[in-house]
Amino acid sequence: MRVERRGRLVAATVGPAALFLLVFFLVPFGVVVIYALSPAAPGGGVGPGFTLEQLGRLWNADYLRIVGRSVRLAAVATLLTLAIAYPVAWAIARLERRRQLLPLLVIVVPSWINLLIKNYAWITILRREGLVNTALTGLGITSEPLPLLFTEGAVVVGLVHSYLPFMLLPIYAALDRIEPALIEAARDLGATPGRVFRRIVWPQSLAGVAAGCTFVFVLTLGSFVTPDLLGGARGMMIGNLIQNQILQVRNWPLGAALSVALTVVVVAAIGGALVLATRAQRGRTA
Amino acid sequence: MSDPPLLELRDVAKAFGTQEAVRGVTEAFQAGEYVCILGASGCGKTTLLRLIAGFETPSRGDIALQGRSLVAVPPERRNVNLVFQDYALFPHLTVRANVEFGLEMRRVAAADRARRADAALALVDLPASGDRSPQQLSGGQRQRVAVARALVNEPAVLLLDEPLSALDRGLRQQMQAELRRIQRNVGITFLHVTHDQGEALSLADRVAVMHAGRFVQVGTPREIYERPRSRLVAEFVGASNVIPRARLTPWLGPSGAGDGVTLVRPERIEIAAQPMEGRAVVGTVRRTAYFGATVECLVDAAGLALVVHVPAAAAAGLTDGATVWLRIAAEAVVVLAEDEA
Amino acid sequence: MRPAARRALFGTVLAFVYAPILVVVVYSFNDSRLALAWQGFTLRWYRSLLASAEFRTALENTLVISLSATLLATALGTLLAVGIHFLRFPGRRALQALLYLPVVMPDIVMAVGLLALYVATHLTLGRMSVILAHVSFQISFVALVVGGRLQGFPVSLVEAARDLGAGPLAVLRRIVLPVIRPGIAAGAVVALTLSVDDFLITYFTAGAGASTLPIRIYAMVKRGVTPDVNALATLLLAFTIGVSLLALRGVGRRGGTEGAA
Repeated sequence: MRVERRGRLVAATVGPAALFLLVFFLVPFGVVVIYALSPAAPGGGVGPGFTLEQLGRLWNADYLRIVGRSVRLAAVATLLTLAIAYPVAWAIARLERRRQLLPLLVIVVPSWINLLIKNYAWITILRREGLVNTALTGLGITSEPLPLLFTEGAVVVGLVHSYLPFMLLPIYAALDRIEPALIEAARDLGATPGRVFRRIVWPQSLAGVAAGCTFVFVLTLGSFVTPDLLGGARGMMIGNLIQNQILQVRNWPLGAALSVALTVVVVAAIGGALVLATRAQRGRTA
Repeated sequence: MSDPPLLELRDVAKAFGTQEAVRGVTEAFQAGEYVCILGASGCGKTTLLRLIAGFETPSRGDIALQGRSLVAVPPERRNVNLVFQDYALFPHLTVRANVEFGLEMRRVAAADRARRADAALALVDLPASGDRSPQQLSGGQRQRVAVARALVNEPAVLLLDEPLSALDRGLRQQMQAELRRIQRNVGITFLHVTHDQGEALSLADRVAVMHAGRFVQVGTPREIYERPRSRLVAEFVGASNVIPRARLTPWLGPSGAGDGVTLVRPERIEIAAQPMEGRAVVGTVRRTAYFGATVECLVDAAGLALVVHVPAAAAAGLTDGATVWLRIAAEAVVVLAEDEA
Repeated sequence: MRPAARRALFGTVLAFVYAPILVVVVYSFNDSRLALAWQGFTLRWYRSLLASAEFRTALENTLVISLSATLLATALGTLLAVGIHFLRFPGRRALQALLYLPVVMPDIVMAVGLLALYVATHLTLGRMSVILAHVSFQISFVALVVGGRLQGFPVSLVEAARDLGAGPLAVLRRIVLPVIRPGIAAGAVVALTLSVDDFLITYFTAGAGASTLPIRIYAMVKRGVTPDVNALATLLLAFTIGVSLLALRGVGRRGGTEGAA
């Protein structure tokens, strides 16, 4: 009797959302997997049957170049974001508690701003008639406007700008957790600031660094808007290729295959980070 | 003539996985009595209370209230109410809304609810606190609101889960007296779980000493304290001298000899700095400790180390190293049974 | 770190993060078609924007879609979080893990999947297709925020309510939901901002008439840099920041009066 009521309780609370997720999240992904394993229909769309042909077609010079570029740009963006975020996080963490809120807020607020707007802003700055070029030619440093937009560099700048808060917050959280007493003890025992950092601060911040790098890498790898607005043809990434295949070329199987590949890489990256994190946690508490 | 029991536990047991928290409790409780379930942490007393309240289902056995089995009845339909250890007052409701909650759930009309809630708050001596929020109250006040909230529903049994453990000492003693007064006033059976033996002895009509999931002795406070059945109970409730019966012959004579283990309470040993009549055995005071109202002496006598409690006013001459005489009356000796496993 | 070095660091990073945004905002008031030379303060771009029928349609669509989706997602997500927290059932852990998937899944993959589903089921693309798509990722965020809020929820409150005669519905309505109200509000705010800001998934699943503000921005940007894009961007910016700051203050204030007995 009580078990029966419990079952109804579960169904009433968890049921609707679980059902919704099943239909509008899991099933779509299932459809994508199926499409990835289907042949392309002549007029666009998907034909019947099962084939690994589309997955095989991924192994193509152009596509591979785009995939390789995506990984490369995502990696570069992640490292650059790390290089910028870490010192800032460290500087904030060293401030006294009540002075930390403002800098944190200031860094986090831009993450609430629409991605389109942030990337669009870089267009206004980097294009031929944009801020940078006007300043450079105006100051006489260059005679001709530089092609800054629609390059891989522009994409990286856009990515770093967009995802900086996602790197900063986890690192700040990890650094904040380090007791100041540890650092003072190390200095008391004769460690120079360099050694304090290398032996005490850096190792304790690794969890945050790993989290931040995972977030940023995963977000940048699958990005569409930034390379679309700032990259042009030379900055095309996986996301753009998928959109192109689905909405323009209408080669659903190829688009689906690329989507599956992207998901696999993302899940692997996150899974790997989690495994490393739990192993590091266990090592520390051992 | 004995009335039929109000609440009956028949071989109630509860296992969590392979751990048995309650291992077969059988007992009957009458209407109107104040019962304290006394035990150390981990003995299963809170689990037993939760079984009666309905938040756990027994692995075996039955719980019957007013003759009807409760086991299949969910907590919201049992005629028992529980005062939680952390009071569990609803933070988003006023004190009055808290107290009225149970009545609201049973669709009592608003006017009646207000009247009964006010009566309950007056009973616990908080007549003017209805419109405040729980966060504005002190610990003792919150405790009283929790009691009012439970009592207003006129349950057949009121369960209290260590209600006073979060209060400091002075407040605790005050609240003990309050609980007693309230129980006498409403005449409802109280089942009060505690680990504090002083609390149990002073509050209860009957005490059930619980250990490792079982009631090891149930009786009046006097019975529990003066006639403990086993060493476990003896040592749990008050200080004790546990002495093998054979070693008591200096005081009891040859007729007092025998097997087994006995208990002599420290305050029942007569002590003086001069020789006394009767079978007084000489001894030396090893050390003394002053507790304000009493003095505790550790005395070596007849090869035993005995703890003796003396009112401080009568402790003149009882200093470290002093020679003293001890007398133990036969009535002061309690024979203890074997401890249960 | 020495104060001078710290100031230099903060200053540079701040400039990097805010300069582009300031440029957009400032130039939305610039009385000039060509982006750069400042030729006076004006509100004409805002006026032309607000007069534009396409803008008004996009605004209306955004409001209808985002508010409906947020309402639905908040209800579903809150119930889900409550069920997961208080009830034990087979598959509970799996469901908890599943909740993280929409958070980590790349937008493009979700967009493709949803479009594939719609095409395969012949669902007409319009506002409804977008609403359903938004809810599919909003639920997770709401459930995670509310679930986080439930972590410290004292079980004794639920037991006390049951002890006093409350059935499951009464427990939910009278005890659980009121106490976690700040968490629900926080979840709703997160869901709302995600929905208003969403571009890619909306782009794939919107029909011709369901254009939202982000889609308008994208279309205008692709056409070229014009001042009304600056105005639209600034409006959206103000809205998002405004809502988030309000929510932040609301959460802070209510957090102060919290606390179970």
